[in-house]
Amino acid sequence: MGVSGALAGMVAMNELSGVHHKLLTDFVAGAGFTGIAVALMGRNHPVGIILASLLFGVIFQGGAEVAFEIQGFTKDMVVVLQGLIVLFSGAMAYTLTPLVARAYHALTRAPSAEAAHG
Amino acid sequence: MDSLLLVVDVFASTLRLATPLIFCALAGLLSERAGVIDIGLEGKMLFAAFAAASVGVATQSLWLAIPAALLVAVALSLLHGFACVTHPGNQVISGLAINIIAAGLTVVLGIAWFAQGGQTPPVADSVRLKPLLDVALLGQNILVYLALVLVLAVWWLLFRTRFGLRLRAVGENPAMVDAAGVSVALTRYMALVGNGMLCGLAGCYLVLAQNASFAPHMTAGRGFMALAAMIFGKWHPVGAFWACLLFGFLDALAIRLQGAKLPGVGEIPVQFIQATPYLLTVILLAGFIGKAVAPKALGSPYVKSR
Repeated sequence: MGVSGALAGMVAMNELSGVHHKLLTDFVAGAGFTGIAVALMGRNHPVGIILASLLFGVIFQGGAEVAFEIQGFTKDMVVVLQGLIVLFSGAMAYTLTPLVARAYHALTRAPSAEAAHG
Repeated sequence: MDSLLLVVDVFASTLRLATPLIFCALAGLLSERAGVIDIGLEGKMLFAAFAAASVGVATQSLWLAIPAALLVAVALSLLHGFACVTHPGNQVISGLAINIIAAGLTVVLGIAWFAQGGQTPPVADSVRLKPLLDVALLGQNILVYLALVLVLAVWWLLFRTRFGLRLRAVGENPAMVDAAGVSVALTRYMALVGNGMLCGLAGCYLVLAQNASFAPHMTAGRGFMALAAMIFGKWHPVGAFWACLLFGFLDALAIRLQGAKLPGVGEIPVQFIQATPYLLTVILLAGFIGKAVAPKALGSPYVKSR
C-alpha cells in the first residue's frame, strides 16, 4: 500500500512540475480511474500495463489533436472510445475465449487425426 | 421559531439530497448481495438521467421519460451481467467501462441531438415531478416517498422472501445454490435488473425533480458516494439508508454553511464538508462501528467446475 501511494504521488509530481507548473483543481482528470482500467487490462502484469497505458496515452493525445483539427469532433468521443476499449478488451476479454480455444483445438487436432489415418 | 424553521428546512433538504443516494445504495446492495460488484452505479444513473431528460424534452411526457430512464439503466445492467455473469469477466473493469462510456456517450449524444454543449434544454413543467403537499417538511415529490418505501421493500425482499434468501445465498456461496438446483446466473440477472431499475429512478430524480435539465457529469460522484454509504451500512438496506441520510445531511449542511462563520472556528471551507462523507466512512469503518463484512462470493464470477 505504501509503494502504491508513492507511485500515485509520482503521477501528481509529473503533472505539476512537468506539465502545468501550478496546482489546478481536478488536474488529474480521471487519471486514477482510467489507471484502474489500464492496470486490469494489462492483466496486472508490468509489461501489459506499459502497453495498455501507451495505448490510452496515444488515444488521449491523438484525440486532443484531432479535436483541434476537425470541427465537430469533441474530446468526449475519445472518452467513449476509451470506454468501449475497456469494455470489450477488458471486461469482455473472456467472452471469445471458449470459441477461440475450441477453434484452436479443432485446428490442432485435425492434422494429427489425419496423420493417424495415414 | 426561526431556529425550528431552520431545522425543518435542513431536514427537508437532507431528505431531498439523500434520495438519489438511497436509490443508488439500494441498487448497489441488490447486486452486491448477489455477489456482483457494481461500481457502474454512477454511469447508469448518468445515462438514465440523460434518457429521462432527452425523452422528456422530445415527447413532453412524464410517462415516457421514466420508463426510458429505467430501460436504459436496466440495459446497462444487463450488459454488466453479460460481461461478468454469463462470461467470467472482471466486475470492476466492467463497471468502470460503463462509467467511462456513460460519461462520454451522454455528452456526445447530447451535443448531437440538442447542440447545447452536452446539456439538454430544460424539460417542460408538466414533465417535472412537483411536491405533493404544500407543507414545510412533507412537501416532497413522490420519488422521495418512493425511496423511503423502497428501503423497507428491499429489506423485506432480501430478508423475508424465498427469492431474497436465494439472492443472498448466491452472494455467499453460489456453489451451494447451484447444487440446490437454483440457477446462479438467473438469480444474479434478476438482481441486476432490480439494480438497473433503482439506478434509473435515481437518474429520473436528478432530472425530473432536482434539476430541470441534464448537464454533463451531473451525477458528480453520487454513485460512488452511494457505494460508500452501502459499505458504511454494512450491506444492509436500513444501515445504508441511515448512511445515505447522514451523507445527505452533510451535503445540506455544506450548502447552508457556505460563507457562514462559526464562532471560534471562522469560515469552514465548503470543500472540507464535501469531503467529510468519505473521511467519515474511512475513519468510522477503521475502528468505530466494527468490521463491514462483504458477501463472501463478491467479485468472483461463478464458473461451474466440471
